[in-house]
Amino acid sequence: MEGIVFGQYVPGNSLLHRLDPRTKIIVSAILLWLVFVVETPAEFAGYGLFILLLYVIGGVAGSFLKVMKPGLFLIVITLVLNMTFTPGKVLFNIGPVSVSQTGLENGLILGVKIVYLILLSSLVTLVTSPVRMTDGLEQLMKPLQRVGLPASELAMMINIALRFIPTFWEETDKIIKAQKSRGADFESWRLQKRAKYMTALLVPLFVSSFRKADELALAMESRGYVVGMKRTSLHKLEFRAVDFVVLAGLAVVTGSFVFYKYF
Amino acid sequence: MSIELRNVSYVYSKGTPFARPGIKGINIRAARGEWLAVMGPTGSGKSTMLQHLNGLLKPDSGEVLLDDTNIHLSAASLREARQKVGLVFQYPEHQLFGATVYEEIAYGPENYGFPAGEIPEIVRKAMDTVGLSYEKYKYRQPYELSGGEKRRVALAGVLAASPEIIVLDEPTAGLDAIGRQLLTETITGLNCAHGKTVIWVTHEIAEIAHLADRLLVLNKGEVVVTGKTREVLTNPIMSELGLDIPPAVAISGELGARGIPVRGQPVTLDEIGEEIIRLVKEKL
Repeated sequence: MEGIVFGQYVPGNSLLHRLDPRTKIIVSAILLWLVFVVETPAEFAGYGLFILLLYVIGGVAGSFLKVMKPGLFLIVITLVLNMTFTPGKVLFNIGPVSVSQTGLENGLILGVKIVYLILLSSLVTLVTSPVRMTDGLEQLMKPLQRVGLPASELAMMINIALRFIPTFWEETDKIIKAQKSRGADFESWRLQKRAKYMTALLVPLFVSSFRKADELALAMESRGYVVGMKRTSLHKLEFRAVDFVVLAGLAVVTGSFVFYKYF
Repeated sequence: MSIELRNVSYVYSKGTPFARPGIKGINIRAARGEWLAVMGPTGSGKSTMLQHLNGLLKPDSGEVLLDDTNIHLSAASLREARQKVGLVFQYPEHQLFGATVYEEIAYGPENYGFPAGEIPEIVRKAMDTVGLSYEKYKYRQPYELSGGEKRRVALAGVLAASPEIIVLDEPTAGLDAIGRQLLTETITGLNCAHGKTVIWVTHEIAEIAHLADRLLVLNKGEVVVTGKTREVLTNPIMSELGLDIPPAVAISGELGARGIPVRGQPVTLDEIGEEIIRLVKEKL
Protein backbone atom coordinates (compact mmCIF):
# COMPACT_ATOMS: atom_id res chain seq x y z
CA MET A 1 0.00 0.00 0.00
CA GLU A 2 2.96 2.21 0.61
CA GLY A 3 3.78 4.61 -2.19
CA ILE A 4 0.19 5.29 -3.22
CA VAL A 5 -0.08 9.03 -2.92
CA PHE A 6 -3.43 10.56 -3.62
CA GLY A 7 -4.03 14.17 -4.48
CA GLN A 8 -0.41 14.01 -5.72
CA TYR A 9 0.44 17.52 -4.37
CA VAL A 10 4.19 18.17 -4.55
CA PRO A 11 5.14 20.85 -2.03
CA GLY A 12 7.24 23.64 -3.48
CA ASN A 13 7.65 27.36 -3.85
CA SER A 14 7.49 27.94 -7.59
CA LEU A 15 5.57 30.74 -9.30
CA LEU A 16 2.71 28.30 -9.91
CA HIS A 17 2.68 27.20 -6.26
CA ARG A 18 2.38 30.81 -5.13
CA LEU A 19 -0.48 31.78 -7.43
CA ASP A 20 -3.89 32.19 -5.87
CA PRO A 21 -5.84 28.91 -6.18
CA ARG A 22 -8.72 30.81 -7.82
CA THR A 23 -6.37 32.01 -10.54
CA LYS A 24 -5.19 28.46 -11.09
CA ILE A 25 -8.72 27.07 -11.29
CA ILE A 26 -9.84 29.74 -13.78
CA VAL A 27 -6.67 29.44 -15.87
CA SER A 28 -6.89 25.66 -15.98
CA ALA A 29 -10.55 25.78 -16.99
CA ILE A 30 -9.67 28.02 -19.94
CA LEU A 31 -6.60 25.97 -20.87
CA LEU A 32 -8.71 22.79 -20.78
CA TRP A 33 -11.20 24.42 -23.14
CA LEU A 34 -8.35 25.44 -25.45
CA VAL A 35 -7.43 21.76 -25.88
CA PHE A 36 -10.60 21.47 -27.93
CA VAL A 37 -9.81 24.53 -30.03
CA VAL A 38 -6.36 23.53 -31.31
CA GLU A 39 -6.48 21.63 -34.63
CA THR A 40 -3.38 21.61 -36.79
CA PRO A 41 -0.26 19.55 -35.98
CA ALA A 42 1.71 22.77 -35.50
CA GLU A 43 -0.82 24.04 -32.98
CA PHE A 44 -0.75 20.71 -31.15
CA ALA A 45 3.03 20.72 -30.98
CA GLY A 46 3.08 24.33 -29.75
CA TYR A 47 0.47 23.61 -27.12
CA GLY A 48 2.35 20.52 -25.94
CA LEU A 49 5.53 22.57 -25.53
CA PHE A 50 3.55 25.19 -23.63
CA ILE A 51 2.27 22.53 -21.19
CA LEU A 52 5.79 21.16 -20.74
CA LEU A 53 6.96 24.71 -20.04
CA LEU A 54 4.29 25.05 -17.34
CA TYR A 55 5.54 21.84 -15.71
CA VAL A 56 9.08 23.21 -15.75
CA ILE A 57 7.96 26.53 -14.23
CA GLY A 58 6.07 24.61 -11.54
CA GLY A 59 9.17 22.59 -10.74
CA VAL A 60 7.25 19.35 -11.28
CA ALA A 61 8.75 18.31 -14.61
CA GLY A 62 9.68 15.02 -12.94
CA SER A 63 6.00 14.13 -12.73
CA PHE A 64 5.36 14.89 -16.41
CA LEU A 65 5.26 11.26 -17.50
CA LYS A 66 4.12 9.77 -14.19
CA VAL A 67 0.73 11.54 -14.12
CA MET A 68 -0.25 9.93 -17.41
CA LYS A 69 -0.03 6.40 -16.02
CA PRO A 70 -3.62 6.13 -14.77
CA GLY A 71 -4.93 7.40 -18.13
CA LEU A 72 -2.77 5.17 -20.30
CA PHE A 73 -5.47 2.51 -20.65
CA LEU A 74 -7.99 5.10 -21.81
CA ILE A 75 -5.55 6.52 -24.35
CA VAL A 76 -4.70 3.13 -25.82
CA ILE A 77 -8.37 2.09 -26.05
CA THR A 78 -9.25 5.38 -27.79
CA LEU A 79 -6.45 4.95 -30.27
CA VAL A 80 -7.29 1.31 -31.06
CA LEU A 81 -11.04 1.85 -31.38
CA ASN A 82 -10.64 4.87 -33.63
CA MET A 83 -8.03 3.21 -35.80
CA THR A 84 -10.08 0.07 -36.42
CA PHE A 85 -13.66 1.26 -36.52
CA THR A 86 -13.38 4.35 -38.72
CA PRO A 87 -14.10 3.71 -42.40
CA GLY A 88 -11.86 5.32 -45.00
CA LYS A 89 -8.78 4.69 -47.15
CA VAL A 90 -7.14 1.53 -45.84
CA LEU A 91 -3.55 2.07 -44.75
CA PHE A 92 -2.62 -1.47 -43.70
CA ASN A 93 -4.17 -4.65 -42.34
CA ILE A 94 -3.46 -6.50 -39.14
CA GLY A 95 -5.06 -9.88 -39.73
CA PRO A 96 -8.74 -9.30 -40.43
CA VAL A 97 -8.61 -5.80 -39.01
CA SER A 98 -7.92 -2.94 -41.36
CA VAL A 99 -6.63 0.42 -40.25
CA SER A 100 -7.86 3.49 -42.13
CA GLN A 101 -6.00 6.73 -42.55
CA THR A 102 -8.80 8.87 -41.11
CA GLY A 103 -9.10 6.40 -38.25
CA LEU A 104 -5.41 6.68 -37.44
CA GLU A 105 -5.56 10.48 -37.62
CA ASN A 106 -8.70 10.69 -35.49
CA GLY A 107 -7.28 8.26 -32.97
CA LEU A 108 -4.02 10.16 -32.69
CA ILE A 109 -5.74 13.54 -32.34
CA LEU A 110 -8.12 12.26 -29.68
CA GLY A 111 -5.32 10.45 -27.89
CA VAL A 112 -3.18 13.58 -27.76
CA LYS A 113 -6.17 15.59 -26.54
CA ILE A 114 -6.73 13.13 -23.69
CA VAL A 115 -3.04 13.34 -22.81
CA TYR A 116 -3.22 17.13 -22.72
CA LEU A 117 -6.37 17.07 -20.59
CA ILE A 118 -4.72 14.75 -18.07
CA LEU A 119 -1.52 16.80 -18.04
CA LEU A 120 -3.34 20.08 -17.46
CA SER A 121 -5.71 18.91 -14.78
CA SER A 122 -2.91 17.05 -12.98
CA LEU A 123 -0.74 20.14 -13.05
CA VAL A 124 -3.23 22.04 -10.90
CA THR A 125 -3.30 19.33 -8.22
CA LEU A 126 0.48 18.98 -8.40
CA VAL A 127 1.10 22.62 -7.49
CA THR A 128 -1.89 23.37 -5.23
CA SER A 129 -2.30 22.00 -1.73
CA PRO A 130 -5.73 20.38 -1.27
CA VAL A 131 -6.69 22.85 1.44
CA ARG A 132 -5.98 25.88 -0.74
CA MET A 133 -7.75 24.20 -3.60
CA THR A 134 -10.98 23.80 -1.62
CA ASP A 135 -10.63 27.36 -0.31
CA GLY A 136 -10.42 28.52 -3.91
CA LEU A 137 -13.38 26.40 -4.97
CA GLU A 138 -15.44 27.72 -2.08
CA GLN A 139 -14.69 31.33 -3.04
CA LEU A 140 -15.51 30.69 -6.69
CA MET A 141 -18.79 28.99 -5.78
CA LYS A 142 -19.77 31.74 -3.31
CA PRO A 143 -21.87 33.77 -5.79
CA LEU A 144 -23.98 30.65 -6.41
CA GLN A 145 -25.00 30.64 -2.75
CA ARG A 146 -27.63 33.25 -3.66
CA VAL A 147 -29.41 30.64 -5.76
CA GLY A 148 -29.24 28.02 -3.01
CA LEU A 149 -25.96 26.22 -3.67
CA PRO A 150 -24.45 25.32 -0.27
CA ALA A 151 -20.94 26.42 -1.29
CA SER A 152 -19.20 26.32 2.07
CA GLU A 153 -20.79 23.00 3.04
CA LEU A 154 -19.67 21.50 -0.27
CA ALA A 155 -16.17 22.85 0.28
CA MET A 156 -16.17 21.46 3.81
CA MET A 157 -17.21 18.04 2.51
CA ILE A 158 -14.47 18.01 -0.10
CA ASN A 159 -12.00 19.17 2.51
CA ILE A 160 -12.94 16.41 4.93
CA ALA A 161 -12.89 13.78 2.19
CA LEU A 162 -9.41 14.87 1.11
CA ARG A 163 -8.23 15.08 4.69
CA PHE A 164 -9.32 11.51 5.37
CA ILE A 165 -7.84 9.84 2.30
CA PRO A 166 -4.44 9.30 3.97
CA THR A 167 -6.11 8.18 7.19
CA PHE A 168 -8.20 5.74 5.22
CA TRP A 169 -5.14 4.32 3.48
CA GLU A 170 -3.31 4.00 6.78
CA GLU A 171 -6.24 2.11 8.21
CA THR A 172 -6.43 -0.15 5.15
CA ASP A 173 -2.72 -0.81 5.38
CA LYS A 174 -3.00 -1.67 9.06
CA ILE A 175 -5.88 -4.10 8.56
CA ILE A 176 -4.19 -5.79 5.60
CA LYS A 177 -1.10 -6.25 7.71
CA ALA A 178 -3.10 -7.66 10.60
CA GLN A 179 -4.86 -10.13 8.30
CA LYS A 180 -1.60 -11.07 6.61
CA SER A 181 -0.17 -11.81 10.04
CA ARG A 182 -2.99 -14.30 10.43
CA GLY A 183 -2.20 -16.07 7.21
CA ALA A 184 -4.36 -14.16 4.72
CA ASP A 185 -2.90 -14.16 1.23
CA PHE A 186 -4.24 -11.14 -0.61
CA GLU A 187 -2.48 -12.15 -3.81
CA SER A 188 -4.31 -15.47 -3.98
CA TRP A 189 -5.77 -16.29 -7.39
CA ARG A 190 -8.58 -18.42 -6.06
CA LEU A 191 -11.75 -16.38 -6.25
CA GLN A 192 -13.43 -17.94 -3.24
CA LYS A 193 -10.38 -17.34 -1.06
CA ARG A 194 -10.02 -13.82 -2.32
CA ALA A 195 -13.63 -13.06 -1.47
CA LYS A 196 -13.02 -14.29 2.05
CA TYR A 197 -9.94 -12.08 2.47
CA MET A 198 -11.84 -9.11 1.11
CA THR A 199 -14.54 -9.56 3.74
CA ALA A 200 -11.85 -9.66 6.38
CA LEU A 201 -10.60 -6.34 5.05
CA LEU A 202 -13.83 -4.51 4.22
CA VAL A 203 -15.82 -5.24 7.37
CA PRO A 204 -13.34 -3.66 9.80
CA LEU A 205 -12.67 -0.86 7.33
CA PHE A 206 -16.35 0.08 7.14
CA VAL A 207 -16.79 -0.18 10.88
CA SER A 208 -13.83 2.08 11.49
CA SER A 209 -14.96 4.61 8.85
CA PHE A 210 -18.37 4.89 10.43
CA ARG A 211 -16.82 5.23 13.86
CA LYS A 212 -14.47 7.94 12.59
CA ALA A 213 -17.30 9.83 10.87
CA ASP A 214 -19.33 9.71 14.05
CA GLU A 215 -16.45 10.94 16.17
CA LEU A 216 -15.63 13.70 13.71
CA ALA A 217 -19.24 14.93 13.63
CA LEU A 218 -19.30 15.07 17.42
CA ALA A 219 -15.94 16.83 17.56
CA MET A 220 -17.08 19.41 15.00
CA GLU A 221 -20.34 20.07 16.78
CA SER A 222 -18.68 20.39 20.15
CA ARG A 223 -16.43 23.03 18.60
CA GLY A 224 -19.42 24.98 17.40
CA TYR A 225 -19.81 23.89 13.79
CA VAL A 226 -23.30 24.73 12.59
CA VAL A 227 -24.43 23.99 9.04
CA GLY A 228 -25.25 27.20 7.19
CA MET A 229 -23.46 29.48 9.64
CA LYS A 230 -21.20 32.11 8.11
CA ARG A 231 -17.60 31.15 8.76
CA THR A 232 -14.35 33.03 8.40
CA SER A 233 -11.18 31.53 7.07
CA LEU A 234 -7.77 31.30 8.74
CA HIS A 235 -5.89 31.72 5.49
CA LYS A 236 -7.47 34.59 3.59
CA LEU A 237 -7.06 34.23 -0.13
CA GLU A 238 -5.69 37.34 -1.75
CA PHE A 239 -5.21 38.19 -5.38
CA ARG A 240 -1.73 39.65 -5.76
CA ALA A 241 -0.22 41.56 -8.64
CA VAL A 242 1.15 38.37 -10.20
CA ASP A 243 -2.36 36.86 -10.28
CA PHE A 244 -3.67 39.84 -12.22
CA VAL A 245 -0.71 39.68 -14.59
CA VAL A 246 -1.31 35.97 -15.27
CA LEU A 247 -5.04 36.44 -15.77
CA ALA A 248 -4.53 39.47 -18.02
CA GLY A 249 -1.83 37.65 -19.98
CA LEU A 250 -4.11 34.67 -20.41
CA ALA A 251 -6.96 36.88 -21.59
CA VAL A 252 -4.75 38.55 -24.20
CA VAL A 253 -3.23 35.29 -25.50
CA THR A 254 -6.53 33.38 -25.56
CA GLY A 255 -8.36 36.32 -27.07
CA SER A 256 -5.89 36.75 -29.91
CA PHE A 257 -5.74 33.00 -30.52
CA VAL A 258 -9.53 32.75 -30.76
CA PHE A 259 -9.63 35.85 -32.95
CA TYR A 260 -7.01 34.34 -35.28
CA LYS A 261 -8.89 31.01 -35.44
CA TYR A 262 -12.40 32.25 -36.02
CA PHE A 263 -12.22 35.68 -37.65
CA MET B 1 12.25 -20.60 18.81
CA SER B 2 14.65 -17.70 18.80
CA ILE B 3 14.31 -14.60 16.70
CA GLU B 4 16.95 -12.14 15.67
CA LEU B 5 17.16 -8.90 13.74
CA ARG B 6 20.67 -8.48 12.39
CA ASN B 7 21.65 -4.97 11.37
CA VAL B 8 18.18 -4.23 10.01
CA SER B 9 17.45 -0.86 8.36
CA TYR B 10 14.29 0.32 6.71
CA VAL B 11 13.31 3.56 4.96
CA TYR B 12 9.66 4.53 4.38
CA SER B 13 8.49 5.76 0.93
CA LYS B 14 11.84 5.09 -0.68
CA GLY B 15 12.66 7.18 -3.72
CA THR B 16 9.96 9.80 -3.16
CA PRO B 17 10.18 13.29 -1.65
CA PHE B 18 8.39 11.82 1.38
CA ALA B 19 11.15 9.33 2.28
CA ARG B 20 11.85 9.09 6.00
CA PRO B 21 13.97 6.61 7.91
CA GLY B 22 12.07 4.01 9.93
CA ILE B 23 14.85 2.09 11.67
CA LYS B 24 18.62 2.13 11.29
CA GLY B 25 20.94 -0.82 11.92
CA ILE B 26 18.82 -2.56 14.53
CA ASN B 27 20.27 -5.61 16.28
CA ILE B 28 18.10 -7.59 18.66
CA ARG B 29 17.85 -11.21 19.67
CA ALA B 30 15.27 -12.99 21.78
CA ALA B 31 16.02 -16.59 22.79
CA ARG B 32 13.35 -19.25 23.29
CA GLY B 33 11.26 -18.52 26.37
CA GLU B 34 12.75 -15.08 26.83
CA TRP B 35 10.58 -12.04 27.56
CA LEU B 36 11.81 -8.89 25.92
CA ALA B 37 10.26 -5.51 26.68
CA VAL B 38 10.61 -2.65 24.18
CA MET B 39 10.23 1.04 25.01
CA GLY B 40 10.77 4.25 23.11
CA PRO B 41 9.17 7.65 22.53
CA THR B 42 6.49 8.01 19.85
CA GLY B 43 8.02 7.70 16.40
CA SER B 44 11.09 5.86 17.64
CA GLY B 45 10.53 2.98 15.22
CA LYS B 46 8.94 0.46 17.59
CA SER B 47 6.09 -0.49 15.28
CA THR B 48 8.40 -0.54 12.26
CA MET B 49 10.69 -2.93 14.10
CA LEU B 50 7.79 -5.21 15.07
CA GLN B 51 6.59 -5.45 11.48
CA HIS B 52 9.97 -6.87 10.50
CA LEU B 53 9.66 -9.72 12.98
CA ASN B 54 7.05 -11.60 10.93
CA GLY B 55 8.05 -10.31 7.53
CA LEU B 56 5.33 -7.70 6.98
CA LEU B 57 8.10 -5.29 6.06
CA LYS B 58 11.19 -6.44 4.22
CA PRO B 59 14.39 -4.82 5.47
CA ASP B 60 16.31 -2.62 3.01
CA SER B 61 19.45 -4.10 4.49
CA GLY B 62 20.12 -6.65 7.18
CA GLU B 63 18.50 -9.96 7.99
CA VAL B 64 15.60 -11.31 10.02
CA LEU B 65 16.49 -14.73 11.40
CA LEU B 66 14.06 -17.24 12.84
CA ASP B 67 16.04 -20.06 14.44
CA ASP B 68 19.02 -18.81 12.41
CA THR B 69 17.16 -19.06 9.06
CA ASN B 70 16.49 -15.94 7.01
CA ILE B 71 12.70 -15.58 6.79
CA HIS B 72 12.87 -13.89 3.38
CA LEU B 73 14.61 -16.89 1.82
CA SER B 74 11.46 -18.22 0.13
CA ALA B 75 7.68 -17.90 0.11
CA ALA B 76 7.51 -20.95 2.38
CA SER B 77 9.92 -19.57 4.96
CA LEU B 78 8.01 -16.28 5.00
CA ARG B 79 4.76 -18.15 5.53
CA GLU B 80 6.31 -20.11 8.36
CA ALA B 81 7.50 -16.86 9.96
CA ARG B 82 3.98 -15.40 9.72
CA GLN B 83 2.60 -18.41 11.59
CA LYS B 84 5.40 -18.88 14.14
CA VAL B 85 5.58 -15.20 15.02
CA GLY B 86 2.14 -14.12 16.27
CA LEU B 87 1.81 -10.36 15.96
CA VAL B 88 -0.84 -8.60 18.05
CA PHE B 89 -1.28 -5.07 16.74
CA GLN B 90 -2.25 -2.00 18.73
CA TYR B 91 -5.99 -2.00 19.37
CA PRO B 92 -6.39 -5.39 17.67
CA GLU B 93 -10.14 -5.31 18.36
CA HIS B 94 -10.48 -2.74 15.55
CA GLN B 95 -9.59 -5.49 13.11
CA LEU B 96 -12.32 -7.95 14.04
CA PHE B 97 -14.53 -8.96 11.11
CA GLY B 98 -16.06 -12.34 11.95
CA ALA B 99 -19.81 -12.79 12.33
CA THR B 100 -19.13 -14.94 15.38
CA VAL B 101 -16.32 -15.25 17.88
CA TYR B 102 -15.70 -18.79 16.61
CA GLU B 103 -15.31 -17.66 13.00
CA GLU B 104 -12.97 -14.89 14.06
CA ILE B 105 -10.64 -17.18 15.99
CA ALA B 106 -10.74 -20.00 13.43
CA TYR B 107 -9.55 -17.61 10.67
CA GLY B 108 -5.82 -18.02 11.38
CA PRO B 109 -5.78 -21.82 11.71
CA GLU B 110 -7.90 -22.14 8.55
CA ASN B 111 -5.58 -19.88 6.57
CA TYR B 112 -2.54 -21.82 7.74
CA GLY B 113 -4.19 -25.05 6.61
CA PHE B 114 -4.65 -26.74 9.97
CA PRO B 115 -6.74 -29.96 9.61
CA ALA B 116 -10.42 -28.98 9.57
CA GLY B 117 -11.31 -31.61 12.18
CA GLU B 118 -8.92 -30.13 14.72
CA ILE B 119 -10.02 -26.51 14.39
CA PRO B 120 -12.88 -26.57 16.95
CA GLU B 121 -10.47 -27.95 19.54
CA ILE B 122 -7.85 -25.33 18.63
CA VAL B 123 -10.44 -22.55 18.98
CA ARG B 124 -11.60 -23.93 22.33
CA LYS B 125 -8.01 -24.02 23.60
CA ALA B 126 -7.26 -20.49 22.43
CA MET B 127 -10.41 -19.22 24.12
CA ASP B 128 -9.49 -21.07 27.33
CA THR B 129 -6.07 -19.46 27.26
CA VAL B 130 -7.48 -15.95 27.15
CA GLY B 131 -10.21 -16.77 29.69
CA LEU B 132 -13.30 -16.83 27.47
CA SER B 133 -15.75 -19.69 27.94
CA TYR B 134 -16.07 -21.62 24.66
CA GLU B 135 -19.69 -22.60 25.19
CA LYS B 136 -20.75 -19.16 26.27
CA TYR B 137 -18.96 -17.09 23.65
CA LYS B 138 -18.46 -19.12 20.48
CA TYR B 139 -21.66 -17.91 18.76
CA ARG B 140 -21.61 -14.38 20.13
CA GLN B 141 -21.02 -11.50 17.72
CA PRO B 142 -17.70 -9.78 18.35
CA TYR B 143 -19.35 -6.36 18.04
CA GLU B 144 -21.64 -6.88 21.02
CA LEU B 145 -18.76 -7.70 23.38
CA SER B 146 -17.10 -5.26 25.76
CA GLY B 147 -13.77 -3.66 24.86
CA GLY B 148 -11.82 -6.02 27.11
CA GLU B 149 -13.60 -9.09 25.73
CA LYS B 150 -13.01 -7.96 22.15
CA ARG B 151 -9.33 -7.58 22.84
CA ARG B 152 -9.22 -11.10 24.26
CA VAL B 153 -11.00 -12.44 21.16
CA ALA B 154 -8.39 -10.71 19.00
CA LEU B 155 -5.58 -12.17 21.10
CA ALA B 156 -7.16 -15.64 20.89
CA GLY B 157 -7.30 -15.18 17.10
CA VAL B 158 -3.53 -14.77 17.04
CA LEU B 159 -2.82 -17.52 19.58
CA ALA B 160 -4.99 -20.00 17.64
CA ALA B 161 -2.32 -20.21 14.94
CA SER B 162 -0.05 -21.58 17.74
CA PRO B 163 2.81 -19.11 17.39
CA GLU B 164 6.12 -19.81 19.16
CA ILE B 165 6.91 -16.13 19.48
CA ILE B 166 4.26 -13.67 20.61
CA VAL B 167 4.78 -10.04 19.68
CA LEU B 168 2.47 -7.47 21.27
CA ASP B 169 2.26 -3.75 20.46
CA GLU B 170 0.99 -1.91 23.54
CA PRO B 171 -1.45 -4.69 24.37
CA THR B 172 -2.87 -3.08 27.50
CA ALA B 173 -3.53 0.40 26.06
CA GLY B 174 -7.10 1.51 26.71
CA LEU B 175 -8.00 -1.43 28.96
CA ASP B 176 -9.30 -1.09 32.52
CA ALA B 177 -7.29 -2.40 35.48
CA ILE B 178 -8.92 -5.84 35.44
CA GLY B 179 -8.49 -6.19 31.69
CA ARG B 180 -4.82 -5.26 31.96
CA GLN B 181 -4.23 -7.74 34.73
CA LEU B 182 -6.01 -10.57 32.88
CA LEU B 183 -3.98 -9.93 29.77
CA THR B 184 -0.68 -9.79 31.63
CA GLU B 185 -1.54 -13.04 33.41
CA THR B 186 -2.43 -14.74 30.12
CA ILE B 187 0.89 -13.80 28.58
CA THR B 188 2.82 -14.72 31.74
CA GLY B 189 1.20 -18.17 31.59
CA LEU B 190 2.19 -18.66 27.97
CA ASN B 191 5.71 -17.51 28.71
CA CYS B 192 6.29 -19.60 31.85
CA ALA B 193 4.26 -22.75 31.19
CA HIS B 194 4.72 -23.06 27.45
CA GLY B 195 8.10 -21.43 26.95
CA LYS B 196 6.77 -18.94 24.40
CA THR B 197 9.08 -16.09 23.56
CA VAL B 198 7.41 -12.73 24.28
CA ILE B 199 8.24 -9.36 22.77
CA TRP B 200 6.12 -6.67 24.40
CA VAL B 201 6.13 -3.01 23.39
CA THR B 202 4.87 -0.70 26.11
CA HIS B 203 4.77 2.80 27.54
CA GLU B 204 3.69 1.37 30.91
CA ILE B 205 6.78 -0.54 31.89
CA ALA B 206 5.55 -0.79 35.51
CA GLU B 207 3.09 -3.47 34.39
CA ILE B 208 5.77 -5.87 33.25
CA ALA B 209 9.04 -4.65 34.81
CA HIS B 210 9.12 -7.72 37.11
CA LEU B 211 8.25 -10.08 34.24
CA ALA B 212 10.47 -8.99 31.36
CA ASP B 213 13.96 -10.46 31.30
CA ARG B 214 15.42 -7.76 29.18
CA LEU B 215 14.48 -4.23 28.17
CA LEU B 216 15.36 -2.56 24.90
CA VAL B 217 15.06 1.18 24.43
CA LEU B 218 14.66 2.67 20.97
CA ASN B 219 15.01 6.28 19.93
CA LYS B 220 14.95 7.77 16.43
CA GLY B 221 15.07 4.32 14.87
CA GLU B 222 18.12 3.12 16.76
CA VAL B 223 18.73 0.95 19.81
CA VAL B 224 19.84 3.33 22.57
CA VAL B 225 20.35 0.85 25.37
CA THR B 226 19.59 -2.79 26.01
CA GLY B 227 20.16 -5.08 29.00
CA LYS B 228 18.53 -6.62 32.06
CA THR B 229 15.25 -4.83 32.71
CA ARG B 230 16.14 -3.82 36.25
CA GLU B 231 19.45 -2.36 35.18
CA VAL B 232 18.16 -0.46 32.18
CA LEU B 233 15.38 1.10 34.26
CA THR B 234 17.93 2.87 36.48
CA ASN B 235 19.73 4.29 33.45
CA PRO B 236 19.38 8.10 33.32
CA ILE B 237 18.59 7.82 29.58
CA MET B 238 15.03 6.85 30.56
CA SER B 239 14.17 10.26 31.92
CA GLU B 240 16.19 12.00 29.19
CA LEU B 241 13.89 10.40 26.62
CA GLY B 242 10.83 11.21 28.74
CA LEU B 243 10.00 7.54 29.30
CA ASP B 244 8.03 6.49 32.37
CA ILE B 245 9.79 4.39 34.94
CA PRO B 246 8.00 2.32 37.60
CA PRO B 247 7.30 4.26 40.84
CA ALA B 248 9.42 1.73 42.74
CA VAL B 249 12.46 2.59 40.64
CA ALA B 250 11.84 6.31 41.13
CA ILE B 251 11.56 5.83 44.91
CA SER B 252 14.80 3.80 44.99
CA GLY B 253 16.47 6.56 43.05
CA GLU B 254 15.28 9.21 45.50
CA LEU B 255 16.39 7.14 48.47
CA GLY B 256 19.76 6.54 46.85
CA ALA B 257 20.17 10.27 46.22
CA ARG B 258 19.57 10.85 49.94
CA GLY B 259 22.34 8.42 50.84
CA ILE B 260 20.13 5.47 51.66
CA PRO B 261 21.35 2.48 49.65
CA VAL B 262 18.50 0.30 48.33
CA ARG B 263 19.30 -3.34 47.67
CA GLY B 264 18.11 -5.64 44.91
CA GLN B 265 16.85 -3.11 42.33
CA PRO B 266 13.13 -3.26 43.24
CA VAL B 267 10.68 -2.57 40.40
CA THR B 268 7.28 -3.31 41.95
CA LEU B 269 5.60 -1.58 44.88
CA ASP B 270 5.68 -4.86 46.81
CA GLU B 271 9.43 -5.14 46.35
CA ILE B 272 10.16 -1.55 47.33
CA GLY B 273 7.75 -1.92 50.27
CA GLU B 274 9.65 -4.89 51.61
CA GLU B 275 12.94 -3.13 51.07
CA ILE B 276 11.75 -0.06 52.97
CA ILE B 277 10.52 -2.24 55.85
CA ARG B 278 13.92 -3.91 55.92
CA LEU B 279 15.67 -0.53 55.92
CA VAL B 280 13.47 0.79 58.71
CA LYS B 281 14.03 -2.35 60.81
CA GLU B 282 17.78 -2.00 60.26
CA LYS B 283 17.66 1.58 61.65
CA LEU B 284 15.73 0.57 64.77
